[in-house]
Amino acid sequence: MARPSMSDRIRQAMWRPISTERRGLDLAAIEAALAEAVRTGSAVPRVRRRLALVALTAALVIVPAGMALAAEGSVPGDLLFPVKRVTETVRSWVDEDVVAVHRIEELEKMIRAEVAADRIADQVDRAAAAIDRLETDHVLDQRLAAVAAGPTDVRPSDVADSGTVGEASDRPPGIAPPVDTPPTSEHPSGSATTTTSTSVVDSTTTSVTDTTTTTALDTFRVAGRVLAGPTCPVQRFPPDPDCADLPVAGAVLVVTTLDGKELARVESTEEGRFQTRLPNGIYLLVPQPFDGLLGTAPSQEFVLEGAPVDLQVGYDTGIR
Amino acid sequence: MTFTLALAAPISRYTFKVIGVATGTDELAELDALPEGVRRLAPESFNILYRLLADGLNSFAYSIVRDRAAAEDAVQQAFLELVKAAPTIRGDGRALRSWLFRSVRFRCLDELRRRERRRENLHAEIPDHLASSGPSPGGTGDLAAAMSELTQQQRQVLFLRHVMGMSGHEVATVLETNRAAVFATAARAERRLRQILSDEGPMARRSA
Repeated sequence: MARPSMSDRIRQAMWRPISTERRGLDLAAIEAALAEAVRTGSAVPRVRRRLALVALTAALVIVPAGMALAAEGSVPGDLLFPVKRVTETVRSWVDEDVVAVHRIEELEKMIRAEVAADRIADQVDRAAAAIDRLETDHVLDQRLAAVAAGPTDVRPSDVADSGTVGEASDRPPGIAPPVDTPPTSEHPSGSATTTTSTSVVDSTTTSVTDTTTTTALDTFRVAGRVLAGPTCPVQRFPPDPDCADLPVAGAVLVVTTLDGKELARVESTEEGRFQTRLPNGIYLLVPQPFDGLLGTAPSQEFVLEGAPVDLQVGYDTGIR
Repeated sequence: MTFTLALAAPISRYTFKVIGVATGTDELAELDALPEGVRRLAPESFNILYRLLADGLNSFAYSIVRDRAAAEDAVQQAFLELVKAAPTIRGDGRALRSWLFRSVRFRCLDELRRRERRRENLHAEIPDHLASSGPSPGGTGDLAAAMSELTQQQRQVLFLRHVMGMSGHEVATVLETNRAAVFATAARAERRLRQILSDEGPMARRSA
């Protein structure tokens, strides 16, 4: 008789069948556990769990994404507009123009939808502010000008007496009253001399001035530099770089109409730069006296005619 | 002469022919048909699974804890845990079997740790193991005594390989190690077993 193999012997040495009594108890316990699992729903079929996963994914990803897409077409005042502001903030990290482009597109929509003129004026302000925050803004500046100068049919109900709308009553505090400026272009609506109000936001000093123009919605950048010279007693030729004019920080410049009504007041920055926005028209830039400098820089007349203007303001240091 | 040759034969993982009662072709086919039903918590699938594996699981548990009640408790708890985890278990019948053996092993090791904390003397329970086994047919009493001299890990590897007929990969899954370690442990255990048995008497099998 052959001896059993080592595996057989190991098996015989280690095999321990469960007792019959215990077997019955185990099967009963398993059956009870199965019934409980089915009753409490812990045995959710895989398909249903996958459906639940899909629903969860939809709730966490698809719905917000859809909402963000839907918000793309919203304009200020819409329910989804705050969503758009959030998404454009994120997008602006890689595309800095997006905010300004959105504001201009919203303006187009609002003009098409014939919303109230004061809301359009506010939107122009927002668009202009967004463009001002950009480093290279001339393209969007012109686009904004084109949009704002487009067919803006102001409803009669929006036009107050003598043709002015958007009075200071619904403006933020610190706003100068509307000032008439000479019309420089005809409104497309023809013979009706409709006028609307446009805020001029001074990005340098944060002062806001209202002005009223016949072309209403188009504003253009007026920027420039305030310099003081000479800085050396003897002027040389060719000019000595060490004797170049120096920028003047904190110089106050006032923009007035030709008849002297103040429209805007700006202050030069550390680099002597200043900037504001105005509608088409003829203006005077009046530098104010500056402590430490001899006299004041001469006033200069400038014309805004559908394009930004760059100005140079020169103070006299008194050095001879 | 034959006896001497058998003793001198190189020991390798191929020395022992793998034979497991619960792992014949029919049983494996039956096992492979179960996972779907188990995931659906079908009672008949659990009944078949219990019939196929309960004794093997109990023997495995007993080889670790050396206590009949603790081993049976571990098996029952493993099946009850399977009821909860079944919908998430993937793979074929072998994967299901590995899962159950791993679960039983965890429970047994927990039990051993509890005993360690109670400062119980594990060796005191060996008589229980020997007594409960009853008369060992074919001289397996000697083998059982010899196996008690192996390490815990060696006993587990031998059981899973020779009794359950698991592949190296399956054993590695149950013991949470890798195949190379399984084969190395098996070879050392078999060599040690032969050495113990040869010291105690002419236990080496004769060549066919």
